[in-house]
Amino acid sequence: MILVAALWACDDMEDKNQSTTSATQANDLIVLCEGLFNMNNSSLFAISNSNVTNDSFEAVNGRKIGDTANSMIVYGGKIYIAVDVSGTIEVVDRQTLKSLAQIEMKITNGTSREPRCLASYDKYVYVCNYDGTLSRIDTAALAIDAEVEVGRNPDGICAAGGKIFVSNSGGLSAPNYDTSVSVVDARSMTVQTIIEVGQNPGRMALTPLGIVVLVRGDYEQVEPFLAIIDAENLNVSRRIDLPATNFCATNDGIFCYTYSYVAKAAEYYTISSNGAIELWTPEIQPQTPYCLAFNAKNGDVLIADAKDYTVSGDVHCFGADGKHKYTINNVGLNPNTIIITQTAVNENGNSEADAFIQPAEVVCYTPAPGQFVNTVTSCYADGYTYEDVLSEALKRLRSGSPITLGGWGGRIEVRFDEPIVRAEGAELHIVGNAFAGSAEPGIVCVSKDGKEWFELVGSAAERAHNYSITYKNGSPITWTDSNGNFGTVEQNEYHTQPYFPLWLGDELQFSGKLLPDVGAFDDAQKRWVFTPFEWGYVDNLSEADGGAEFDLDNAIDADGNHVDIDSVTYVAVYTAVMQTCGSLGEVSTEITKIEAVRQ
Amino acid sequence: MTPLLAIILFTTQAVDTVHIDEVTKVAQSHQRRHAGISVDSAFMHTANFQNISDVLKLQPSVAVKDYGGMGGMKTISVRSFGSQHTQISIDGIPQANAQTGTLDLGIFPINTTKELNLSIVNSNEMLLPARSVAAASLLNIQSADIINNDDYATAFCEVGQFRTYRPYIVVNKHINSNNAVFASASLDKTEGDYDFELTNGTSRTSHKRQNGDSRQLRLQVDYEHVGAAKTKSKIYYYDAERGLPRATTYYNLISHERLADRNFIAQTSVGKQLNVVMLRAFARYNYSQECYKNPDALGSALAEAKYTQNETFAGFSAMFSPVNSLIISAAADLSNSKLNSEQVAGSPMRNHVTAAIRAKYVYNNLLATVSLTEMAYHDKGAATRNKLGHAASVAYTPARWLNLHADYKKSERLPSFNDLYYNSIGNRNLASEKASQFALGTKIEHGNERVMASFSADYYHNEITDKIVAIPTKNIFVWSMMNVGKVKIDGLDLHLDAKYRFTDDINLRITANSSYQHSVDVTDKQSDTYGHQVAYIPRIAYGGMAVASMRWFSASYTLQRQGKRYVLNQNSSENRLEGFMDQSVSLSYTNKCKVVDYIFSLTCRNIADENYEVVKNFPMPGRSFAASIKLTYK
Repeated sequence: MILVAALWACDDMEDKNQSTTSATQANDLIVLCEGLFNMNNSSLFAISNSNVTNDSFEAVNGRKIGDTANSMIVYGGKIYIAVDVSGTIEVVDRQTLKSLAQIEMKITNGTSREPRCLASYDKYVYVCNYDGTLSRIDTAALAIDAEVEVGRNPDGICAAGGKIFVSNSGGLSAPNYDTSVSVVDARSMTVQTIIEVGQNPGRMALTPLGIVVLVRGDYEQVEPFLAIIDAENLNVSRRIDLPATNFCATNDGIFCYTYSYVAKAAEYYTISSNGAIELWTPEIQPQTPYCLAFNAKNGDVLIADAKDYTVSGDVHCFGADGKHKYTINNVGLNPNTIIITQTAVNENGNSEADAFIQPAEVVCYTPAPGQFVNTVTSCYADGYTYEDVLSEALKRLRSGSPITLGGWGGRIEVRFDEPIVRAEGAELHIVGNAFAGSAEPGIVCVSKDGKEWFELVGSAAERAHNYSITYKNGSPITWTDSNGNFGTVEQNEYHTQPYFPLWLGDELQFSGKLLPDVGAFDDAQKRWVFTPFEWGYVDNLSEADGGAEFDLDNAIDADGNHVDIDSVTYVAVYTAVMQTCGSLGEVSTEITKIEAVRQ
Repeated sequence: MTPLLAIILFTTQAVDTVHIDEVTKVAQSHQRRHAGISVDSAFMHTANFQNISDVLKLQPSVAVKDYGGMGGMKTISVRSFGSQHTQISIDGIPQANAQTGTLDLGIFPINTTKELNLSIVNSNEMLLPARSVAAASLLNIQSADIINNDDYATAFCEVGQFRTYRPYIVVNKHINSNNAVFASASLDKTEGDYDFELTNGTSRTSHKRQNGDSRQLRLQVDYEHVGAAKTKSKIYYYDAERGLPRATTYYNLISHERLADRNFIAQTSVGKQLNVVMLRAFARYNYSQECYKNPDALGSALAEAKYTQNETFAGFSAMFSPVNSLIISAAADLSNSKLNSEQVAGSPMRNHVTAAIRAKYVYNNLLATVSLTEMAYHDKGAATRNKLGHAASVAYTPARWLNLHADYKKSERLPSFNDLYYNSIGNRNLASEKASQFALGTKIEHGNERVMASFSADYYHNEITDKIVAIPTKNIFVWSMMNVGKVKIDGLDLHLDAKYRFTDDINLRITANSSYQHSVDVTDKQSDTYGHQVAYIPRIAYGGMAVASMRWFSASYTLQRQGKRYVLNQNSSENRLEGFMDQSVSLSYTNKCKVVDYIFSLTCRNIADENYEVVKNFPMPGRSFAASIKLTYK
């Protein structure tokens, strides 16, 4: 028995987990992985700002999606997932992925109806089920409100022009496949007509070519082809004899591939609306393409790679020209649907993107000496160079983590990829950490070229003065200003690290506008009280009180006169109050976000 | 740990007087006394095992894939080889299922089994059928002796939880001194609605296994004859109807799938001495039918499936000793297998011939065996294929109590009809799986009046190339096949078998074994599973049994423990399936009255109520109690 115990200790097997490698330039994605039949291992992979969660559904909801999740769509701020074997439809909030409802798709004896594919239209989500039905989900009540019988084993769905098109594969009665597409009126949920397309029709999508159906054939003699349905005449207007395995809509046609199970190789094609078929060569070859996604904004193509169907798959991103942009490894088993979360569909069927645009780069970050400088709040860690600090600052802005600007003059400048165009209302969203009783105002500046800057005026403009200051490193840190004053920066007992930024040499000079003091010591309450300005400054009023909105209409020139700016590409913020408030230390503007409002 | 080890102790003494009779006696004594992997009926019935696979779970080098409950399918895998590499034989006659290439151990009866003998790598029995010689490992299910036993009749019934009833009757009767007949009828019936727990993220819920009922009927008639020739014949009929509970998929635990299967086996073997040649001839006919139904299927392809198989098999093996220290045997057999099913196109038929030549040479303390096999098979509509196999074993006994051996074998297992032809899942291009084994072992024995103990340690290195791997795509009944490539297996088995005789009446028998298996995929250096442990093979497993018997009482304890495994070839945390421990305890009281001997038993299976799975999402029963009574009339 001792031998046995000794041997037991030799269980030297360890989990060999692939680390999910992701490029920092990866899109924000949500990927549905179906897992393997009867293994309960469907998962929802999410990547946001390069942060990866392997099963975000389980992480958020404490339970798993289920068995063989087949497809997913985004609609009206919610994500719908059809889970085939488990017989459920999961509805989660698009932002938080928190479960809002789990809709049962079962018959009375408990058997799954096998929900397969989803489409959205006019405040409803439609799901076709393998039991030969089409169900309609009311997106407010999150329950099924109507059903209609369609053909056998429907395996594709598409909404267009007030009608729901369902392709009937008949796959579970192979080789007696079904050959039709059912056309259902979305409002009345009645079958209007049936279009004959060919054996075993599957995936459907609305594309610039029209409604495209992948007609799969019998996997032996009859080869697949693409049929194009005319949504007006409700017939097949054209067929493309390309034996495609999968396809997706693009900006001007479709993108598809053929995969040979024998040769274990794929060929990729783009088909434009004039019918031209072009071979498309990716810079690297995925092992087994499994699903596609098209990035309408820049023409990128995302290809999920299921590898050998039993190991965790990858997602590859290619430019429109086939150049390999990035690969995310270890996404999950058999990734079957990719959603690029910067592009989603709202109630009107229009492209609704994220409300705010993030900066592309932090071009300058020079905090003035302060009690949080050289901690993580100043984007610094041991050994960081200025480049490292800038890179860290961008990460913090993108994830909403606070950045300190230190005392007066301390500054941050960011650059946006796309110019921010002047429009109605606020164009900039800059968030600080102000709250009732705490205000540390900073001034916003904008620029077209990063060299000539214009301030955004605020309510205290009348009382603001031109000002400049020079800080010198030392023990203690000393400063002299344009008013002829001089002083030191005292360390307090709470923060013992050096207060002079370690990555910026030994002397800092700043110039700008000096705002009046905001803090006053209240003898009665025996504490410092801060009175914010009415409007126009960062970290002055809370976001709820409108303190994060900034308007390009308020741009002024160096003389304080209003200036018309049509667009800007650079935004900067600097601490505009020079005051030390006893044990609270210096007034220092803190920011968590510098964003452009998407118009 | 082959029975080759045991034979050394006998043959080194018997070799000096090599007459065929001696060799025969030796061969028979080998059959009566095995080392390591041999389980006799006393052991099996004391612990009240419900089926053969439960006995095998406790043996070294063996893993059993068990889908749970009495009706769940159970297949055996030896030293990381797939179950198709193990040849199963009944009374020395090979059995087969050409459709799947493997056999559900649940078909075979336990109540009429006298002994289970598992030979790994090479067996030292010289009168084996050719295809038993060729196989990577051999499991022989030996039925009860008939002529050698006095007449008796036994009635037994076990009643247990989940409405389990297991009655049987057995009659052994001599017709005259040369002929005897044996008949058995048994029924295993259960509702199978055991409790299990399901974990989903942070929640844990209790459920009852649904659709797990099963009814298995077994009828058997055996006939033995001694005289100029020895014959043993059997007719066996198995009839089962059961529900197939699905994998416990989240949010959907309901299944209405049913499986009805019938198996009819008629076989006979004849042994005769012809001059200097010892000859054995055998024949078997097998008819089986499986009917699968799924009333909930959403399409006709999945609603129903019926498989009908016919197999005819015949062969012979002969041995003789041309000089003192040498025994030569030759064997050949032929089978014709047919499968009819809508699910498998073209009604496959296979003719399969195997021939084997073996030589055993003894010199002082050394014993060497060499064998050559050739397999030729022809599937309807395909070319004839030839496979050659070879094997060798050397054993050295420097002292009476110490045995050292080295074994080597190259064998192949043919792709089954399902592998090749199953509609849209079969792959006609499948190659046969090739296996090579190399083993080094040592065995130490010690015996005196009080104690008999043996300890063996075996190291083995096996390689599989062109491994055919099954991935579930439809349900537990149907899989899809791929040649995965190469697997390298290194393992160590330790086995202890000890008998203590405290007094004439009081005995204690302990067997314990533990195994370490490093079985990794080495197909493709670039792949994500290179160097990962192959699916469902634990790194560590151990088990054992202890039986204490006194004049009227006996108690037994069994333990099976498997370490963690991965359910897919990629050893990620998501794929990890935790290990488990299953312990059982059984108490019996035996006595006799004027007319009958009787035994009362109480058995508690899985006493720790461990909630575990052998196959992912197929939970095993928790703690259950059963009581039985056995009456024997002599």
